[in-house]
Amino acid sequence: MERIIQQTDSDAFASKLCAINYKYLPPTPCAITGTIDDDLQSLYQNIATLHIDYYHNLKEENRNVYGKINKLMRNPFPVMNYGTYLRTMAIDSSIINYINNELPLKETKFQIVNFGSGSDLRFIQYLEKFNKRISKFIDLDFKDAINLKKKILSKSNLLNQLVTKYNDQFIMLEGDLKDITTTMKQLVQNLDLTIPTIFITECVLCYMTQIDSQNLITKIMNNFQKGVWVSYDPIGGSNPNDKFGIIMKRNLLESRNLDMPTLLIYNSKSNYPDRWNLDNNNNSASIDIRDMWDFVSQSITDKEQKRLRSLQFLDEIEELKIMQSHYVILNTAWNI
Amino acid sequence: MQIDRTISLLKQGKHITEDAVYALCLKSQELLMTEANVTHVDTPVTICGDIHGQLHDLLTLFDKSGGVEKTRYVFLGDFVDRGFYSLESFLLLICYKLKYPDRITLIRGNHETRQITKVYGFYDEIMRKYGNSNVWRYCCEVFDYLSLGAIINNNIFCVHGGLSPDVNTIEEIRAIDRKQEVPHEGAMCDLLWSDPDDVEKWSLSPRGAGFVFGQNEVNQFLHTNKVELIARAHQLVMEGYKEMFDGGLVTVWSAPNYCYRCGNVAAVLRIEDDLQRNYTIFDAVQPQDGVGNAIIPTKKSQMDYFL
Ligand SMILES: C[S@@+](CC[C@H](N)C(=O)[O-])C[C@H]1O[C@@H](n2cnc3c(N)ncnc32)[C@H](O)[C@@H]1O
Ligand SMILES: [Mn+2]
Repeated sequence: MERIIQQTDSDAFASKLCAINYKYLPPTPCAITGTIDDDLQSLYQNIATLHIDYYHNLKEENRNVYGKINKLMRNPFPVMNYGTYLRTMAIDSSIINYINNELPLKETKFQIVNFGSGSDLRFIQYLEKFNKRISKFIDLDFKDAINLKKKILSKSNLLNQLVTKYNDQFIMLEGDLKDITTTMKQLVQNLDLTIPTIFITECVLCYMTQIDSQNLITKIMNNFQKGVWVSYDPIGGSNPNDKFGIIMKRNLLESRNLDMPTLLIYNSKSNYPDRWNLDNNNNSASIDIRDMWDFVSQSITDKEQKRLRSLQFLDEIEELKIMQSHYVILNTAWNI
Repeated sequence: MQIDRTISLLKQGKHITEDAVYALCLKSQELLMTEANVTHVDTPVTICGDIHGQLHDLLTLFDKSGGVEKTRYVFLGDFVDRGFYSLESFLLLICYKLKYPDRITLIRGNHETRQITKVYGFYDEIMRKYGNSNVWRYCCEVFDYLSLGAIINNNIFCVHGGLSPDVNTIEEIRAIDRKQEVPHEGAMCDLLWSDPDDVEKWSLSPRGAGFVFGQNEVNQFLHTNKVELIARAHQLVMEGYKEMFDGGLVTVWSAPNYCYRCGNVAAVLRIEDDLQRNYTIFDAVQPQDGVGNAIIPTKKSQMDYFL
C-alpha cells in the first residue's frame, strides 16, 4: 500500500512538468486578482528550469520512475493541464496571501512544512524568494521518496548548489505521517513551536484514513502556536445524484489498487474542513474553503483565463467544471 | 459479405487490418461525396449526440433504441477522441452507413479533424494499435466528406455545435465547400464549435473556436428557415439532454459516464412522424465482475485525475 501511495508522486510531478511544457506554468503577469501578482511572478521565475533539471537528473538516477513520468507526460489533455495550473496557483496564492496579510512585517520569520512533499521543488522557490525570512523549510515524506529526492538533488549541479546555499534552512525528513508521535518528535527537534508555521498538504490527506489525518491535524494545531494549514484534495461530492466520487474511488482501486479512504467522507466544501474545526479555547481558527471552479472564477483574471484556453483547444467546459468542482483548496489559519 | 464480418469483429473489439480499414474508408468516401452539406432525413428518426470512442456504450445505444435494422439514425458527430475505442466506434458507424445508406446519417463534429484528434486521443490510439499513423490518415480523409448538418422533415435542423453569425439560412450552409479540414474560423467552424447560452447577442466562446449564441439568434434562425427545432450535441449534459429557449433548441449527449469518470447519463431523441419528441435515457456499461474492468484497458495511457 505504501508503495502504491508513494507512486502518486510520479503523477503529480508529471502533471506539473506537463503544465510547464505546455506553458500553462508559469503564469503571466496579471494572472491573479488582488495584490499578490508580483509576488507570484517572482516565485515562479525559475520554475521551468528547476523542474526540467530535476527531470533530467531523475533519468540517470532511476530509469523506472523516469520512464513512468515520461509516459504519463505523453498524453496531455487540456483539462488536466488546466487543472494542474489551478492546483499549483491555489496553493501558492494561499501561502503568499497568508504571509502578506498575517506576517506583514519583513522582519517576521516563519517556517514552512511540506507534508508528503514528494518531488515538489517548492522549497527552492520559497527559499529563493523569502530567503532569510524562512527560518526552516521542511520536506517530509516516506523514506524511499526522500532518498530518491536526495540523490537527484545531489546529482544536479544546479540543484545541489541551491541545496547547499540553503543548508541551514532546508531539512528533509524521512517519516510516516501516520506515526504521529515520531513525526511530532522530528518536528519539535527541528522547528520552533512559537513562530508562525505554514503547513502544506497537497494531495496527501486523501491517502490517509480519517483517524490518521485527524490526529495529525489536531496534534499540529495544538502544538504550534500560530500558523496556517493549506490543503488541496479531491472531494467525492455530496449531492445524491453526483457519482463523481464513487466512480473515482472505483476507477483508482481497479486501475492501480489506490485507495482514497476519506473521498466519500469529506465529500463537500462544508464537511472537508471538519478536521480543522477544533474547540481550541485559546485560539481562533479562521477557515476558508473553495473548490477549484470557485477559484478560477474568483481569482484568475479574464485575461489569464483567455491565455490558458488558447494554449490548447479546450474542448469541454462542462467537463472542466465537473472535475474542478471536485477539488478543493482549504486555508485554515489559527491564532490570527 | 465482407462488411458483416467486419461489423462482427468490431462489436467484439477485435483488430481490423490496415488494408480492411483502407478499403472501408475509400468506400465510405465515395458514398459521402454524393451527400449534400445538409442532408434530408425522414421521420421517424433517432437523433444521437457525442459518442467519443465509447464503443460499449454505442452498442448499448443501438440496443436501447431499436437497432439499425429497424430504426433510422442521425448521429450529430464527435465519434472519436477521449474514449479508448475511437477507431472501432467510427468504423462501426461507417460500416452501418455502407450497409444501410438511408438508415444512418453522419454529421461532422469538431473532433472529426486532424488537429483535434492529435490532441484528444484518436491519433495516439491509432499509433498504439497500428504502430503507424496510416489508419488515422485514412479516417481523417473520411472526416472531410462528412456532412455539416441534416434536416428532418423540413422541420428540425441538426448540427453538431450550433449557429454562426455568418449563416442566416440553411441554403447558405449548402453553399459551403465542406471537403476540407475544418478551418479555425468562419461558418463551417462555427457550425461545429458554437454553444447556446443565456446571452443577449453573439458572444465569444470560452472554447478555442466558435461563438456563443442566445434565444434571439435561435428564434431568428427558426423563423427565417421555417423550422421548429435545432437539435445539437457538443456539450456534456449530466441528464443526457437539455431543452432550451422554449423548446426551440435541444442538446443531446450520448456518451454516458463521459471519459469513464463524469458520472452523467446519456440520451437519444426519437422524433415521431407527428414530430413528437421522445427521449431515451441510458447508463454506462458496468465494469464486469471478476475479470477486472473489460471496458477500460488496463494499460491506460493517460492520467485522468489529479493525484
Ligand atoms: C500525490 S503525491 C503529492 C506530492 C506533492 N505534495 C505534490 O503535490 O506534488 C503524495 C505524496 O504524499 C506522500 N505520503 C502519503 N502518505 C504519506 C504518509 N503517511 N507519510 C509520509 N508521506 C506520505 C507520498 O509518498 C507522496 O509523495
Ligand atoms: Mn464537440
